[in-house]
Amino acid sequence: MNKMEALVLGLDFWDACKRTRDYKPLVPIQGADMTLKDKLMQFQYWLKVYGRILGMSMKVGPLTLLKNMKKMPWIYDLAKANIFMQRAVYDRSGNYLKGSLEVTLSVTTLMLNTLIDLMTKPDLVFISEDMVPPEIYQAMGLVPWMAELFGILGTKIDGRASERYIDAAENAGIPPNTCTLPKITMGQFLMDHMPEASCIVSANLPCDAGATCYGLIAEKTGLPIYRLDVPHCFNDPRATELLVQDLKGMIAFLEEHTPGRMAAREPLPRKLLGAGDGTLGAESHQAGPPAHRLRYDQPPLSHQYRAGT
Amino acid sequence: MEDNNMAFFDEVIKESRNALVDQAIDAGRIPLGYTCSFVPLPLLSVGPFFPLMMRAPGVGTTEMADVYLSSVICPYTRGLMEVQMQGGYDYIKGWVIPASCDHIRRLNDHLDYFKQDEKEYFNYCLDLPRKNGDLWVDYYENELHILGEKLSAFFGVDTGNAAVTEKIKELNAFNKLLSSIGELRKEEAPVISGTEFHKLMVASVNAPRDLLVDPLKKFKASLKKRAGIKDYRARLLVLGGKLDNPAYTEAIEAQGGLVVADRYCPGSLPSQLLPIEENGDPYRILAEHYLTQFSCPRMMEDLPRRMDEIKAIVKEYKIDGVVIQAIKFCDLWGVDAVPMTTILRDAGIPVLRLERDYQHTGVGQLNTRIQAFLESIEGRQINKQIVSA
Repeated sequence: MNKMEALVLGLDFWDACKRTRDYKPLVPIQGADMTLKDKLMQFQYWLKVYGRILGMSMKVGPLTLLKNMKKMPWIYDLAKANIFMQRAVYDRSGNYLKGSLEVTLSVTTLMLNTLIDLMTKPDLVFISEDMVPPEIYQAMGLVPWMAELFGILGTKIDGRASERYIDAAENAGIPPNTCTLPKITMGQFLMDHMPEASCIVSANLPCDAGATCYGLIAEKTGLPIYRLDVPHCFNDPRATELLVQDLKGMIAFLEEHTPGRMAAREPLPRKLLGAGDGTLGAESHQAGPPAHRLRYDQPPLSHQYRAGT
Repeated sequence: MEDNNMAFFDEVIKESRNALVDQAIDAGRIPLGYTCSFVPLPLLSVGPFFPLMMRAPGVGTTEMADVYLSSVICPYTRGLMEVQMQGGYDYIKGWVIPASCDHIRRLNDHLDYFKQDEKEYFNYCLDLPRKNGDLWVDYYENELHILGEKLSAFFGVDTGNAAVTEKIKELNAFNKLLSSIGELRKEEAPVISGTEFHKLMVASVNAPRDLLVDPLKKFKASLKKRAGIKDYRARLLVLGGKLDNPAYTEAIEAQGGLVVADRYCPGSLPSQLLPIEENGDPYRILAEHYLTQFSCPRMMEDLPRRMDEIKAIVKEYKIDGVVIQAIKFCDLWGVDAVPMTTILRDAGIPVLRLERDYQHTGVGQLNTRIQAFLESIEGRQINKQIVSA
């Protein structure tokens, strides 16, 4: 890192600190009418959240954290988790308050663990859409980064944190009436605020905009993509069987583009596999549609266009 | 350029229920409504059936449909729902609605919701895959078999292989005729305008095809007497989603652009009029043809192919500029138009992106945008001439 980069990083960090300091939540801070016991309990969880954030920075290492914060500045916004907690527990007391605080702390911890994996195991990172079943690639030992995560969670923490991404998507030509969640996701990719990843896995769910935006994302990033096609009549056994084959294709794709291997982990439960021998080892998923069997299997679009076609 | 032959087609597309539809119903034939180009027309044409792509011409506001459908549902869907709720589709004896997009799926839900008589009601939601590998072609073939069986059981019509193959041959002959007219647009001075061809295409999905053959032949013969159109400012390709109102193309051409290529529903390019294989299992052939030949942003892992197709059209039809029109609230086209625009512009092709309502409104704005686009194309052409000189 040269001096100029260090200066920019420092200014970014200072700007983020100021934004965090000046943040005004949309709901008033609860306080006056709380019992002392509730206040102490909330303070205890407030400390725990910051403690875990501090723990994450220690686990990752300050330099790695700063580098990642430069690439993904929305991590600053996630540091406002306590503001989210204030909002989540507003007007609650007693056990209800404690339960809500515990849930908030669990979400924060889960999020921090994901960030730790993201920053410490970059070779295993790939982009995953929120509607792709995560059990399989977690069994493969991979680190999925759910592309919609900031759109879902960041907006709850700070309603304004995502505006820049919505603007970026609309400036690129996405219609204003398109749902804001895919717009935030697309905006993050367009601003290059997503982690480095080896490939993308998405699905045709949950909606047209959410599914179609992955065409743009694949084109923008040039990453290989596998898209699950969940049939409309999903209760039909034929549809289940088709999806099983599609999931096997996804495993083959992930094994091709990431270091993750299904055989390296515990076998998946039989109920996830439909008919089969109860494992998704090398033999069983060879029966699925390997990439070369897809009719229009082509290299990522950007590769072609970058080659000057 | 308009003549008496075209007046016939004007009359056919004026309303969904036109004289030809009435003529067919009076002859005991059964109209089946569908909404998407991925529906295999030969299967919906066997025996007494004839397919009609559902339209809602003349619908101004959609007060009744708005009660049931969200305000961000596309106006085409809301238009259809409005007509349906007003009883405007009572003559339709069965529906085949593919799960092509979120909006049309909602229409399908509401058709079921409003059914009045279980015994008289036929609606099959085709589970249309979004990928076109072998597995998904197999799945779609299976879907078509189920549809065929259900049609057969409900209406007592033979939907066997021989009947479907016969209709494939008939559709191929009809498409060959339409295609021979469409090919004329490749000429430097085409004898047919984009508006006229658009009317033919809309008519072809708005009436029984067999009743259009003779008028089409007559129209084609009349083209021989015409002089080619030379006084246009630029040759345009219009692409996008559902566009079944030729008044839109007419507004573009009124500004001096000549629409020589159409890539929308119901347009002819790139593959709508391609011949379907006539030998073999017709259900398999239909599944493979519709799933692999037809282009739509709803299909996943397919953008490179679609872009290649569009570039080929640009080259083949000597296109000066591309107009991408997306119907309001259509997420598929709204989102997909972004990489599409970037890729086309990177390839040096001028692109105009437009958003429109289902009904032909906002004509003044459209005129201004088209004028500016044509001027920019002309400016580029002048610059090229200066550079080459």
